[in-house]
Amino acid sequence: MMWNILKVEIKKILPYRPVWIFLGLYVLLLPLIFGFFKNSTSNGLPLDVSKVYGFPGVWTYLTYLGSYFHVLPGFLIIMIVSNEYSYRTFRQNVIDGYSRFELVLGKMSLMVLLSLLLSFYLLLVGLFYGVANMQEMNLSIISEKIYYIPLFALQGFAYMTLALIISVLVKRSALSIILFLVYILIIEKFIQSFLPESIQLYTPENTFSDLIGFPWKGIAMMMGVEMKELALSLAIGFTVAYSALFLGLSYLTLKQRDL
Amino acid sequence: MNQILSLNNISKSFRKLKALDNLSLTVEEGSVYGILGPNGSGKTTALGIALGVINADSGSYSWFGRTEDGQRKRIGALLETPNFYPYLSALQNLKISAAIKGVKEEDAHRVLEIVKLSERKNSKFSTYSLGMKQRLAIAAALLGNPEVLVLDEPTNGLDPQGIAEVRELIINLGQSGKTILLASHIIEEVEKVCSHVVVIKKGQKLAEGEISDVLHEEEYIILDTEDKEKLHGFLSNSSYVKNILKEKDRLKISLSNGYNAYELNKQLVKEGIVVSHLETKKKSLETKFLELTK
Repeated sequence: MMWNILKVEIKKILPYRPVWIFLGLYVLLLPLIFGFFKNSTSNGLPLDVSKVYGFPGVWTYLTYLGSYFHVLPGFLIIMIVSNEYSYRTFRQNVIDGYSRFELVLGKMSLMVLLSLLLSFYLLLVGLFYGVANMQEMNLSIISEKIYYIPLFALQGFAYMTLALIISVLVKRSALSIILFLVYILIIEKFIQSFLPESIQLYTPENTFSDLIGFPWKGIAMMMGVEMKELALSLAIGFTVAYSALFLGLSYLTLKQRDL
Repeated sequence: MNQILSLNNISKSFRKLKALDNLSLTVEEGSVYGILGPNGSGKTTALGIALGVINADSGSYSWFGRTEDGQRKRIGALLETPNFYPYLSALQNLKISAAIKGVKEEDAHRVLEIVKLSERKNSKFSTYSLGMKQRLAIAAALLGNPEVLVLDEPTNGLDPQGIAEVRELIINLGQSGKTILLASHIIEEVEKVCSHVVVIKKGQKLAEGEISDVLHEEEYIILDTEDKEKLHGFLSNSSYVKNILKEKDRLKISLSNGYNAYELNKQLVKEGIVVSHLETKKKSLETKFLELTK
């Protein structure tokens, strides 16, 4: 069943140009910007090339850069969902036989596919840089910290669930994209400032972002900057819980709404 | 006869507007069931609820005698406007509908043939004219040859030839034994293709039954004579007469079932009343419809 639902979702978006534009941007910009760091010490951080580009460091630094790229598939999900409203194709899908639950399953399956594809791409980029900067052939050093790849996949999926609930609620793509960005950049920080310190770190976007921590943490602490990050297991647990919550809320919203 | 669809006491409001007010109806297998009502009477809302895209405030419905979700794949439906992905071709759109319904994708070619869109099957939906969009929506409803069709204003936006073709298609489908629900504000459309009809207005049921009972053309007779008092007196007491209206100088009467002008005249002559004017007229369907939905 899941496979059929995914196939339908793919058929819906394959000829949709923004899909290719956003994925193209992702594919082009991620390795370019990552490579660009090499020539730049502008942010004042000492850049040890073999540490950033070689194994296993490449996994932490590349996924950290990639975590900023999650907004692109997020935008895509928003546009796809908003289209379903404005073309009234959610309505048509239900008339044709989908339940509201299957509408959400469709988007979820697409999100899983996107996050797997993009993580696989990131893996390839990481291997490329890693191998290029490898002094000696050593397989075990490649797989060290490679668990950052599945963390990256989970993180991408989580950001897409946030994009999903926003677009399901708001219906309109431009407004949803603005809200998505403003939430990540401003609203959540604002909310955090009202929360007691003990739970500040447990807001949704913060748990997503702590899946892949700040790679210059050590240096930052040496410089006396206090870094507050969730333990990885907590970040994983809360990310999974928030993603499930956003998916569930999307379903409940669609269920009670007239299409 | 098996029940295909039954709506039980469905109510629905949009903010302050009461779109459906305790509406019930039953559609039996093999019937071509018309939902007739003026614009805004609740036809689309009723069908939207039956098709699961609108949530009723109260009441229930069942398809094929079952209330659980998941019966829609057995139904082909066109609701209000054609809804397709504009950047996809007609064929790509139909393949999506087919996949959701669990119907073989090849069936898209057959239904495109029926609605005469085969030549334009690879054009994007956004390039279609209103009439073509409507025909594509009908094609989507026909996918998988479903046993039940729900068609909401199916001739909307079509040219006269298209209208005739779609009506003929509906008649043929009805004759082939399919159950069809047809919502329309056009009385002649309902009269031409339907076997049963419900008339609704402001979300309430005004009349329901076989088409010949609800929409039959009523006869009435206009009479005049010298002694109007005597004629009126006789008619008022006659079992032939259902009701009497004074129209200008003349009397306008409708007869009880089973009587006609010939018998009435014979009776009048027997009573010694000679009429100077006797005219039989039929009430037009439009008049009847306006009366029903007044």
